[in-house]
Amino acid sequence: MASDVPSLPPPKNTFTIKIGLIGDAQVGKTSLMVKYVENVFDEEYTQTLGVNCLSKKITLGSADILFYIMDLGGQREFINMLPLASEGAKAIVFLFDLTRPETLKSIQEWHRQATGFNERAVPLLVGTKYDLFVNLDPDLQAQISKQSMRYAQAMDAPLIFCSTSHSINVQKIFKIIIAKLYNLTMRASEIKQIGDPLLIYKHLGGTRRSASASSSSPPGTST
Amino acid sequence: MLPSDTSLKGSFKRSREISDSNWTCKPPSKKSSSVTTAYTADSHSAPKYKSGCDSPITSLKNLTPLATPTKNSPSFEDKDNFGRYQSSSNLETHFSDLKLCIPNKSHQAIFKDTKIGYREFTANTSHPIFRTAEIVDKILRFVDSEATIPREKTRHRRKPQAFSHALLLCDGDEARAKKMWNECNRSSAEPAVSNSPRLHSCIQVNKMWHRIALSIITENLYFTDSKKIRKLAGNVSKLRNRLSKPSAFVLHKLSKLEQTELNAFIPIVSSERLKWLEFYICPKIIPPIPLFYRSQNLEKLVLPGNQFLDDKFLMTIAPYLTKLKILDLRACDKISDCGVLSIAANCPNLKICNLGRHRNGKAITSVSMVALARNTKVDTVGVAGCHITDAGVWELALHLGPRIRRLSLNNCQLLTDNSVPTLLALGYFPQLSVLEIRNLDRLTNVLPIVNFVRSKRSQGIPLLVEGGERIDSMMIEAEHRLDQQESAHILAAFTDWVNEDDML
Repeated sequence: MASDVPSLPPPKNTFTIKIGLIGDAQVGKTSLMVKYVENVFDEEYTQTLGVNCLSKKITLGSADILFYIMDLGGQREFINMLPLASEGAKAIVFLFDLTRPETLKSIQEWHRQATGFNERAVPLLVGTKYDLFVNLDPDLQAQISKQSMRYAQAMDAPLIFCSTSHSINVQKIFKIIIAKLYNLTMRASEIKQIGDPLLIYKHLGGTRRSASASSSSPPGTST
Repeated sequence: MLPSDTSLKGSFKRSREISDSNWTCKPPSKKSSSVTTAYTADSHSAPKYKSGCDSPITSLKNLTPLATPTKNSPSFEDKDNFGRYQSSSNLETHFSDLKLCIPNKSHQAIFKDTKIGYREFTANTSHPIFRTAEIVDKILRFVDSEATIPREKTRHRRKPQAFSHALLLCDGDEARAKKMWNECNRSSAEPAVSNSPRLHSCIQVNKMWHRIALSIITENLYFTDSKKIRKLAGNVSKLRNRLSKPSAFVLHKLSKLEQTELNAFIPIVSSERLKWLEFYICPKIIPPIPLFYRSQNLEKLVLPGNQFLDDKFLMTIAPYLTKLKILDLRACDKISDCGVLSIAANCPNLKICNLGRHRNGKAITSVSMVALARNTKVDTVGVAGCHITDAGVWELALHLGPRIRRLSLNNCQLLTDNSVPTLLALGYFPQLSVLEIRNLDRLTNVLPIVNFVRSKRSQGIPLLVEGGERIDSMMIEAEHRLDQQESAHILAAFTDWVNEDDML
């Protein structure tokens, strides 16, 4: 996958927003990025070696938003590249696979590590592969949903369930980032019903973290 | 470049003719293997000069307020390739095996009385390159390339008018503002003289060196001390044939020099080579008029703070100044529109013209402005404290607007919102990089100026606006308002986007 470095320097009134995508291997970080930037979904798995990045420009009337998305390979060996994805990022999106509860548990460690490099970034908790999740046993769905809500609460991070292949809540992730960064009023209604693609953001991640604020770790409960 | 005079090679003779003049120097006392360090051993506060070249205004660092037009020195024809090398250590490494035999103290004692002994000494031990006139000329030019003509100290900004103004300029950073305010309260009487290496000790080496060094030194005549110029004045007739025709003649703050003493220099100074004539705050003297008859290539005439210069003088010399590019007549209170008119009529190539003053501002009116606008190609105009009206500035904008780079209109009390703000709003000064508008009490509409600053800034082009406390604070306030408006617009656009229907 070709990495696309945005042209320098950005022109006038362009707000460059760096976003780090972090999470276990095969949760769909690269897929989400490619889907958002190029609106393409590829079933085939390609392992990310190190870091991928893509940028997407949103042209608005009086300013441009340039999303500069960095996607860190999920394998443990790439952990030393974590600063690349997290330092200077305005938002860090923690992704887990809704069909593999262990990937949610890993978020604990990812969150701890990433906030070590960047305490001020807005965190988001994103569950991927919602289209596969809906096929799971309803009890398991409920369990995972509740667990992820607890994590989101602990991280003070908006929670979004998305499906890259079925285009569910993909754009919402980036709109929530902008809304949280600039304290904007977002009117999209929250989705809190277990089994639906959860979208909980209004009371989470609203306060910009100060450098001194210690980040709370998610509770260490197991599924 | 120099006739090689073999009869002089290797001989040594103390040059008594000038040894009593200002160029009396001890021979360097340190034994050194490097030419350069040997010369720096004897620092001398006599003329300094520079074979520099113009640097175009490209960054804010190079921009200086209008009051310092000496920033752009003319480039001299005798620029030498050697001068391009910056560090003297270069020379040291390349020529480290070459021994220039300069007598140290013990040698001096031995050879003081025995001329022959000394000659043998030099002949036997010095490298042949130090006996070849052309090479010595190159070497000495290299050494001299570090010397500069002291100039008025350039400032990046004008001093703040009060502590509150300093605070304003420093964005409310109190520590920085305090430092700034204290600095400008300290007496700014820093000497313009720098301690760069001079060739005066080279005069003493031998006849050939004496001839070469003297000719290089006198290519740019510069004096900060009236005693020294007096001494030289006494020897002018004797030395005349051995001095170069200078391309620069600069007198710096010689308040005691008398006109009669200066007149002795006419035969030395006046020539077609003279490009730069500067009498910086020399109140008792004016350039002798006959000087201009033969110096018709003059490009830079700098005579600030002269109380004797009058319109008649300017009218007399103007016909000889057809190549003039820089004219600095700051604080020459007797000059009026009449003199400026004759300059404008005769100097089509004029680029920089500064007539700023604190007294007798009524003598310079829009008439001068119109004359300059219609007849010259000025890009830098200084009329601080003059009775310029909006019409004069408009005339300048209409004729030369696209060229204008620096504009000093401080204390021009007749100016209103109808000139600078309006003209900037209409895009008449696209290249403006320094705008001085201090103490313009009738200027109230700063919004066009702020917009101009912002558009320049967004293009990455530096622009300095000196508004003084009142206008600066108005500009900061206007800018703040614009910022708020802009961010409100942007946030509204973001909110709209955030609430759009998703496609993914």
